[in-house]
Amino acid sequence: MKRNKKPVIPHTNERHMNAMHRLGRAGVAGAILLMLGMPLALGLYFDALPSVGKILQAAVPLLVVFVPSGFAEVLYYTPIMGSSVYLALITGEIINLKWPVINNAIKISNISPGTEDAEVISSIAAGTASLIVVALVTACIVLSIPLQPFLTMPAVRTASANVFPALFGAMVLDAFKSDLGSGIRASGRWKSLLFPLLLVAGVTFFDAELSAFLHLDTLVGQAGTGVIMSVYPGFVIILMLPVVYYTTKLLYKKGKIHIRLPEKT
Amino acid sequence: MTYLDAAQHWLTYAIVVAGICYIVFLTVFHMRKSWKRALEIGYTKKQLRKVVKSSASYTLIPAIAILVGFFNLAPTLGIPLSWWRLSVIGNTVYEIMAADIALNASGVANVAEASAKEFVLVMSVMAIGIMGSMVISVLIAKKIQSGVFKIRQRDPRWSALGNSTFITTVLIVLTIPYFFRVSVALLTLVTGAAVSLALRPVIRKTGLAWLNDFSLAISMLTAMASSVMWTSLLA
Repeated sequence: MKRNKKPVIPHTNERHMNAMHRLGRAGVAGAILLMLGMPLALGLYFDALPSVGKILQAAVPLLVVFVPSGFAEVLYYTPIMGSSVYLALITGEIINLKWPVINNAIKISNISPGTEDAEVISSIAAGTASLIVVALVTACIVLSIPLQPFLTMPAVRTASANVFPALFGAMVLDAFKSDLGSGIRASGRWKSLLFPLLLVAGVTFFDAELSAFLHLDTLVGQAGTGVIMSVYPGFVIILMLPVVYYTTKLLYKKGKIHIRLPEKT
Repeated sequence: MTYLDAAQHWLTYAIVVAGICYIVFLTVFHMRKSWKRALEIGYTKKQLRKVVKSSASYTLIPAIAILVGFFNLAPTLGIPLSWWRLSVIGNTVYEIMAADIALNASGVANVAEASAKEFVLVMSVMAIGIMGSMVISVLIAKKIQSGVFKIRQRDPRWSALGNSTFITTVLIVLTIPYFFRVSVALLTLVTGAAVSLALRPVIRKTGLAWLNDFSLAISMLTAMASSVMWTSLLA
């Protein structure tokens, strides 16, 4: 998408960025208060407040798994989404919805991730996706009786269960493309992916052995099973980020990957 | 009061409606600010409407899976809490897992035996267990974004390439495991990639800009539909 008077690398506006981060943080604070306040209000009204010990007993196992993966999510989504990451996290369904929707919006707008352009476009795309989901779930409740036969059909359930591979299939070839958006082209980019691909393939192949060696299989009650790629992909992404980043940087510095910026107009 | 009485209580509905109003308000406010900023930096309303239209159409396909999730959640959580949980952070698998852990902690086998206290426990545990990423985002998201912008100012070439590594890493880690077993999931993934590849020359030759805007959605929808065929072939 060509913007009016578009500079080669779009400028950033610190004031707007600061305002969006303030709004995002306030939004997160409000969402946390709501999420905690709801059960508290109901518990008080029903005179049915559970003990703090019982809440912690059930919440700690979840926190052990979801805090590290939450850290990973913030680490790899923020460079792509900018300050829209707050809205995406509050409204959830990131990997199967917000991320591809934002990726699609960045792609059709022909801009690069990590720019102010990507920031505003991501925000509009993530907001649209959130509103549509809220509207659809609301409509689903209103129309639950007529919709139930359709949404519980075996074919619909099968298609829904395969939403992740369908999504990754539709997106995966973009990882090898030389077009980085905004008219920026990276020739030889595929070279930087070979080592990370082999490394992840190796971890997947030896998943059972590595899981047993690190006692991760017993930790999640699946002794003898490979659990690294199925239960802890967030950890693998955290470990792979510097591998992919620095492999790419090394090849770029050695001149094996060439970047061509669009000419100024 | 039983678990299901609490789950379907008018107050539970009222609180959930208030929460959803907050989410809608926050989203609209966020979008409005970004929309204004986009116009300031040179985008036209037509270009922004195109982003909205394409994002809306792309949302519809994964949203089917979310709606299917509603019918999985509603028997355990009741209608209002399912409505709330599908509108905020989390996903169907997480919600079911959290409900199961919370009920186990109470020594209750299923919701039919549970009381309102267990319902409040389930609601609390679901909220606390998933909010790590939100808290972490408040602490580090701005620092990460500032770092990204600094690299861009120093070396725009490397910045463009370096930024692409984040998406690439996620795709590599999540995609590779599918290739280790011939399954419906693998065939679905390959179908999605094949359709997306096949659409490229069509878009280039016909110059159909709208097709480019919807190519991801078309690839994904075709792949999901193909999973039904692969399931029956592999059965």
